[in-house]
Amino acid sequence: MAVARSPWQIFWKEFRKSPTALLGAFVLVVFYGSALFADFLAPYSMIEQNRDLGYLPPQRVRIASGGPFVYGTSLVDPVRNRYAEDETQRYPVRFFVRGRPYRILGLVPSSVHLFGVAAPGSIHLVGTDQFGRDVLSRLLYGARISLSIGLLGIAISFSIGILVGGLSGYFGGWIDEGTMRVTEILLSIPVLYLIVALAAILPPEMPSDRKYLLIVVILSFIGWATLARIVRGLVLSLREFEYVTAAKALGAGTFRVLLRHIIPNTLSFLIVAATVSVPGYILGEVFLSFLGVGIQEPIASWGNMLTAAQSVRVLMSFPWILAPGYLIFLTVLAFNFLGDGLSDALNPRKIQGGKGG
Amino acid sequence: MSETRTEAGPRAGAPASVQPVLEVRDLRTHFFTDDGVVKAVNGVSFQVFPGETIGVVGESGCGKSVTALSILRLIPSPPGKIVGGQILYKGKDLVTASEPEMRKIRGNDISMIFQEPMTSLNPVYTCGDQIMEAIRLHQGVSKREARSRAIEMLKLVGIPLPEQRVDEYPHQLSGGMRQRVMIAMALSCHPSVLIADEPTTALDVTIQAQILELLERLQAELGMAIIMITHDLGVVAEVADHVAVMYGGQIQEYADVQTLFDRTTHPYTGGLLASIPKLGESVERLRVIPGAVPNPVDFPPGCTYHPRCHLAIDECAKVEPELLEYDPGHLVRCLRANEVRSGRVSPFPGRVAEQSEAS
Repeated sequence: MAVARSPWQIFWKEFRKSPTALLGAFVLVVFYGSALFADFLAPYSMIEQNRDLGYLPPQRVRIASGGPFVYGTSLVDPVRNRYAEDETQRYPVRFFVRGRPYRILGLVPSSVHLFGVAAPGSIHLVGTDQFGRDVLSRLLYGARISLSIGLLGIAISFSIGILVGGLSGYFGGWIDEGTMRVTEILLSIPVLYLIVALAAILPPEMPSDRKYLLIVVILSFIGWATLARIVRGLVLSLREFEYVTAAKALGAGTFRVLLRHIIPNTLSFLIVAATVSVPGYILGEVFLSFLGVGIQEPIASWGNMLTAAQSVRVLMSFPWILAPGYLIFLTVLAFNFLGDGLSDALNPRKIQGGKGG
Repeated sequence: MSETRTEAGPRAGAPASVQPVLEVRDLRTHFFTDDGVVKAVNGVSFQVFPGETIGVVGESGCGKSVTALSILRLIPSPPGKIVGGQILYKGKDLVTASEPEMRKIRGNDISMIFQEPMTSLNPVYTCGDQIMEAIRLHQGVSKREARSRAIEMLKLVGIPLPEQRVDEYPHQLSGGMRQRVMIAMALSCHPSVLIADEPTTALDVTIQAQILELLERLQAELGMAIIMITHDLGVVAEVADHVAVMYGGQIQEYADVQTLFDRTTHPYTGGLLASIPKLGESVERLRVIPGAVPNPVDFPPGCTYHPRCHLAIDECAKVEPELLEYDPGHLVRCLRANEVRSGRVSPFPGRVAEQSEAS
């Protein structure tokens, strides 16, 4: 017989075969990594304004013998927001510069930033928004909210969904009846109207972090119902397997059987379901912020940054304002690629079938 | 219901000093379905003595597996429910035991192995994990200790390279190997009763023989009692000391294995024996018992077997026979048992009453 291979090794062997899934995974690692180290990567804070440099287009970095530099800029046409490079002013790009203090991963204090230019110059690689805030920095900080909202959202909705669906499928009877009716009620709530109504009720002065949590909670309290129904179906079929009876015959208790023997067998499905439902939460945040129920200025999220890109004038004249839109697009696409690859690699027939290999 | 004599319990000839390790008394397990009440087990009694093997034989749907699951209280409820009787394990009634008490007994005192080795191991854990689970649940030993006990168990059930197999997943093992792992799991806490629910049905014949041999060897080494549930009289002949033949949720005939084969009395037992193809005999078609197991929601009146029985008389449809002891330790549930025993009729279908000795 061939070398013993764990399901994890079989999974990795299958997963590696899919270039799109690897690409998706790579993009997500880069995005989530950037969000995690936004303090270090972002040249400015998300609220630093430069009123003289509103709607500055992305600056070009030039290379000279002394290393990369940017030119200074000056506003030449205030009406149409035209800027010109001032070639007399050169600001060399410095790496690992000292700047505003922060804590690495919220723990270690530091003030080193990846790059920056000395005052009075400024560097805006993706341009600035209408208040002269650095779009790149806001994208990096906004990624923290927009990307984590999906993870937190599925963490909540999956916990509820797995627990409720698992218990419902395992015990059946009135527990099952009751919970399934609750999910049906939840699934029939028109989410759009609920959120618009909430927008009207919530106090506008509510702090952003509370609002952030509230959005996640709302989205996941609606999102768990579908999952609970699917998990219930899986558990209903899995609980009839002989290994479940075998585990009980060995003296395992209800929760042990459910959590150790049944739920792990739904994992291949759950991982895929989680992966493809993350984009829903990311888009949900965008949607809520766009409606004004979401993250409030000046805190950045990809959703509320897109709010600025509502008018045709802005889109036509300052296309870089649409940058968060591209990132959302890429993130959602990456998650779907990853989910597709995972569902192939986690196919139970490949994990369980065939001996050795 | 009139199974009055079942209370006494078979095995009158047992030495008085030996106490049964497990005693099932008038067990009734019913399933309450939309179509009606399914009396899957309807008044079953038997005793299991330490170190002995009792075979429970019958067709599919006769209630043998439900009996086994009832002993461990693993009947899916709803719709199933033990509605009557007692299951005495070392004097303690398992029917009324609490769930935590049952959990301590399952796997530790009474263990079970299943028919389908392909599905009775959890695909996401290694063999070692699954054997260790039982050990850790009941014996409260360290992980390392449990692991070395698991390897020991694998060695005991005759798995080569146990140190390596312990980390393998079920999909990497053959059917026979998986059944060995199942046995290792079930025996890891040295239970006093092992319930084997058709342990060899899904295996090919050579592996069957190996597994049966293994069970016999382990029984000799560990001294547990085995309840062997099977539809295969060949298996029974090989391993059982006593045999209970079940039909329609009731024991139809109970005897020690020698008596059952030599002095078959119940026509159902006769039918089962007659359906075994004989080596060297050439037949057009295999013999079968005509008809099928009756719908358990709607058993025929009188004797449940009478619609298929070659000895049925009018009275069989009216009177429900009792399980009566005709010889010490030989119990039969048939109105015509005396006629069979005196040789006037044969329990074997398609055979005229020629005669064996009358007693």
